Amino acid sequence: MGKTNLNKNVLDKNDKTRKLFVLSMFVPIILIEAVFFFGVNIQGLIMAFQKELPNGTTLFSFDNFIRIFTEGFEGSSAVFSEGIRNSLLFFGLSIFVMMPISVIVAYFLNKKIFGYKFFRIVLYLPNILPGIIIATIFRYVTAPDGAGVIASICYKYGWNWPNLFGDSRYAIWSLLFYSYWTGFGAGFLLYYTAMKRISPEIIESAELDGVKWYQEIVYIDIPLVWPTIAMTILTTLPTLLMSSGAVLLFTRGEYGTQTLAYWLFDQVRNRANMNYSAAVSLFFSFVTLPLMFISKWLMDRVPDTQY
Amino acid sequence: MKTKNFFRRKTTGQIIVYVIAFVVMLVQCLSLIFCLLWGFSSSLKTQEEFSLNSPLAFPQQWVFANYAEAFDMLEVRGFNFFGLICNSIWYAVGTPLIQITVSMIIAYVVIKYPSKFTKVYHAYVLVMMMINLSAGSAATYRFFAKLNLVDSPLFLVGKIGKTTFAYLIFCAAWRGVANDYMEAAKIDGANHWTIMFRVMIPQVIGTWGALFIMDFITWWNDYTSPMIYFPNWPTLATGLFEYESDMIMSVNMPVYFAGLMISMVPVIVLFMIFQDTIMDRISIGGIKG
Repeated sequence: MGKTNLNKNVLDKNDKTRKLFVLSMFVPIILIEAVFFFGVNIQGLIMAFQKELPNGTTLFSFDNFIRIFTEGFEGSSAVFSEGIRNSLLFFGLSIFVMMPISVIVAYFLNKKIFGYKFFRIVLYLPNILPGIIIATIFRYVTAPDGAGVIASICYKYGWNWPNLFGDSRYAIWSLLFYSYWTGFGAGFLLYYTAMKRISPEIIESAELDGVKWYQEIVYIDIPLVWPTIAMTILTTLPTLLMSSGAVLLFTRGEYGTQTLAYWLFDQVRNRANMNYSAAVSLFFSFVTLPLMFISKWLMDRVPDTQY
Repeated sequence: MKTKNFFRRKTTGQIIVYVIAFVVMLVQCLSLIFCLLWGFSSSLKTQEEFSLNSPLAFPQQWVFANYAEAFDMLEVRGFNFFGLICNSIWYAVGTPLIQITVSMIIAYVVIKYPSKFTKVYHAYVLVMMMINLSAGSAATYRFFAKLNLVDSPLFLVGKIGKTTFAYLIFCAAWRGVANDYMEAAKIDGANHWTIMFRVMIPQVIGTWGALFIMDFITWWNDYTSPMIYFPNWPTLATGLFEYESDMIMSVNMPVYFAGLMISMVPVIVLFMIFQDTIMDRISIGGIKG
């Protein structure tokens, strides 16, 4: 198979074939990634500062950014005020409700609560089923006017069942509930996998010392799986203003359910206001930039745990 | 006996908490199952039954023909049901095939062939994971359109690259594979390419498989990206959404529900077969690594 050199380490940095290998594997991929990364972002910068004139030509302008404030925050629809509010609601739900629930669900599944195999499959089902299926069924189950399952039960007892997704009083809260219902324990898989790695001896030792179940979660499980939790928070934080629920599947942004993410999607889907939406994306990315560094700084304050 | 063992050494308070947790999770699971069963039940009704009878009523005749009719009825932008499935297959297979493989290779080079450059690259990945400076879908669409990558399967060319999640998973996986394998292969005369493809990659093929399956499920269910980037090549998920949106007043809903039920079969089968593999392989380590 050719000449071999028993004294040459395969990771020897002076090995010329090693350099050739690294170049052949690494460089083409990095180049392609760079083309798309820089290409898309440069394209975005150009579009953000471009104003399209009626005759089809373009000129450099700050109009798109001015428009964010004149139309997005102060206009008749103030779509960004509503969008940011709703995005923060979805983000808050994700971090302050769904994540703790996921950790608790992971704890009980790890403890092999009765039926844990059944729960593990069913709770994860919304993550693997197409969103259109669950959303369509949910819409029909909760439909108003006797057409839906719940409405027909209510009507039997003389109760009214509201139009959850067609009434601005309920629509956003219904979307939040839907996100909670389909996301119940959705993140549990990561925490469950991490908790499985915790040595049973640690838990048994704690139990012998009289540690209660909530103390175990707070003082043992969470610290030991903190890298996983930190990773989840850190990767979720950039989506602070882009959090959204199933807006497209239920309300299309009407009835007070507009989110920034849906608005951007809608513009691109309809090929409308493309330059404006590029400016909006960039603007809100910069707005949330400080949060990223703060988040990383906070995460670094928590010591790593080895087990 | 199992129940007795489970509650052994548990205090009354713990038992109460476990029972409450069990009930809460059971209610959640039953509500999900009820909805799916209702959808299945609706798929077996006739249009008249669905429209006129109580939504709680069982099908009077189990019309399994709705499933066959779904293949005929569901047509979006010139693609019938089979066409929609084909589009889903090339999108849901092609995307993870490219991205997971690239992530695996990049992570291999970074971990097993460390240098100043790979360390800088790794730090760059961790930083960019936090910084979400994005020009958004508008810029991505415009750029892809300039490269003629939109509205065609060539869109997959734009997917050549890693995903941060898979990259970090593989970094952890490669750290767990001993360099001894590489040394032994080198002694046997293998070059670096042989070592990677024939010795090292088989060590992490389970991780590759688990990530591929998870990503396949994600892309199979994705309906928004096809709408934006290749609207004239609708996938099954996109097609089902657009069909109902476009035909809202005239949709034969039981047949539509049959189409929905069919669309979930591949992902459920995959998950049921590989759920243990997926759950064993996926873990995220510290971000400082």
